[in-house]
Amino acid sequence: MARVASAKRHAQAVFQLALDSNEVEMWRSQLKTIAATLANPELAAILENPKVHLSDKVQLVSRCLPELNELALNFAYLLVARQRMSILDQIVAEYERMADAHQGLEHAEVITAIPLDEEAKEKLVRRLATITGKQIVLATDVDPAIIGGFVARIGDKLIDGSTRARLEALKQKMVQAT
Amino acid sequence: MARAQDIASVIRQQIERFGATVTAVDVGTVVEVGDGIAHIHGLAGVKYNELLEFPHGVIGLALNLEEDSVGAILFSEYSEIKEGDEVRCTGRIVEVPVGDGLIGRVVNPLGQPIDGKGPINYQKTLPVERVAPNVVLRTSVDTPVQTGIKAIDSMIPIGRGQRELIIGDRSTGKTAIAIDTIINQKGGDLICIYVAIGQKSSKVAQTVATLEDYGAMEHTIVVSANASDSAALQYLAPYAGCAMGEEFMEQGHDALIIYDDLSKHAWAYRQISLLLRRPAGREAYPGDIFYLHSRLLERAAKYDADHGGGSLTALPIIETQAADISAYIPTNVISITDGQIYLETDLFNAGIRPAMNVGLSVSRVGGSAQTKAMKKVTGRLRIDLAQYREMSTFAQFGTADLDRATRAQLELGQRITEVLKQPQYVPVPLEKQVMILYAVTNGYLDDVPVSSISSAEDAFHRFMETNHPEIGKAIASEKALSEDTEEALKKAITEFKQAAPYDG
Repeated sequence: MARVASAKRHAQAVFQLALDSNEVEMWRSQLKTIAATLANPELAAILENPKVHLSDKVQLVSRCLPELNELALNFAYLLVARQRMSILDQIVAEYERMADAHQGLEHAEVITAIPLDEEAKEKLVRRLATITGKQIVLATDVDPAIIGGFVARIGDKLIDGSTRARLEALKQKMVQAT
Repeated sequence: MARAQDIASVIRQQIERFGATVTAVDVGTVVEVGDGIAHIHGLAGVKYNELLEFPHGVIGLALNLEEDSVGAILFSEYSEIKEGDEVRCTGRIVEVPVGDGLIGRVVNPLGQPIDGKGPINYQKTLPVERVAPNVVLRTSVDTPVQTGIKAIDSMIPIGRGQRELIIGDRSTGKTAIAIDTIINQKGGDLICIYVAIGQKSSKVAQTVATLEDYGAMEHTIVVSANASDSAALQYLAPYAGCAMGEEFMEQGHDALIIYDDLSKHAWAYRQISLLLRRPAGREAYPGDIFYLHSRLLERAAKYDADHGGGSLTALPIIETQAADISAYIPTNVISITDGQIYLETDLFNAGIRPAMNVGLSVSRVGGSAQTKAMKKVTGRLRIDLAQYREMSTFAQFGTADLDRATRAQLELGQRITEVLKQPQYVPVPLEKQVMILYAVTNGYLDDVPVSSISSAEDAFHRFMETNHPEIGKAIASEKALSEDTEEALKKAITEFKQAAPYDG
């Protein structure tokens, strides 16, 4: 739990920086680059090795990430120095959530029993947008087990309009009544 | 066949009328589960004390609300819940059904029946956690709860709306006092709620059977969270029972609630708190253990006439370990309640039952609730008994060389002690209590040998019922001992002693 909290704090700090310089999107891509590069297991092994001196690690990082700006590079150094490489993925995820919330974006995952056509997707996006009051980035999935209808998951909210859920509710009501 | 048709048509109707509305619910994911506790990620919109729905029909209660996780306690078997399972908010703060439909039933702390007598008929539910009635709504205690136990009604009277603690070691007759009090309310206007917390299922079944045998279930609700139930249910039980009692109080009725016992309740809450990683304090209890009981017992109250005049009397029970009343929980509850009935193993073994220690037992408000008749006969009872106890320690080595006054005091004390003894399940009505106590305190039993006091008492009650029933009726209806009645009583006692000489 403590690790999650610290990822959030790091992401918050980066996001503040990004907001101040109005470079939210730029930071998003830079963070992704850092995460992608440092995920290399050979590189990670060196960076986590206590025998390697910090100045060598810093040099290594700066050579691996040539296209980064100064602040982003500093952030990478900080993570290396503090040995927080392991929470980098969580920091990126947290940052993306903050950036999305700032830009009024919301990710929605919709599961249906049969694949949706473009028109239906369009309609769904508009409907969900009115419910949440935010722009919807839609991801769809097909799961025949829900029988019919759809299940939409928007952040922490769940809209379960599937036939499976309705049958389940009907079953429960009948069990209770008898 | 016709019946099968009926059932089919009922089901058909249900299916036709069934409408499930689709709404957005908050969901989270189980991060960790075990020991009756679940940590859940997400659930951003959850409220404190909200019921949560886990897979496989398991219900939980949100207790720890943190930045992005929730700590919940689980009410039932959780072995099928895994990490990554989905948890849904129900939008319902934990609540129980209340009202007349519950009377005569045995329910669990969620208000579900566990006596196999079918569903509970109710129109209303109340949240389990409620704020106690404020000062404006209340008035002072002025009506007695007749326990039917001579020692209590005479010396430690309990008023309606009072909180009186029953405290003592294991098997000293704590529950017996509670059960006798419930039995004595038969045919009266007091609705009783018996909350069993962390007891053996067999003992609860036995208690319910006893209440049924004496016809006392007709005015009683039993709320039971047994030893095998989860700590979450045991934690909830007293609050659930209290909500049921409050409903009667708010409707202007009188209710009595017994928490048997709050030590086990404290243990259940300690378990929950430690598992939720709340900081531990003295005896490993959490910091809010005092508030746990004070907020519960504050809900016992007496409403003033403008607000219906209802009342809720609480009789919490605490089990001490090796007679240690200065342990954490006993001192807490003693300081919250308006007095305590202290039971002792030594007295119990000496055959003094109820095994009440008169010196340590007090009732801080009940005196004003005592009936006039009782007040008149018990004025000197406590003092007489206290003097007797003091002197009896000196008199252990023989009474031969004591002066007459001291010996008389000792004799009287022995007789009062004898009269205050009472077997279980035999509550004594007010008028009988008044008459026998009048007889003993005014020296009418001085010439009866101590060993025959109890048989003399039985014979006296029989004699009064057959020969002078009007005296008992007068006391019962007037609730006072008028001079005429007193004269008649004196005459009757003399008559009784002539008819059945017990002396020598």
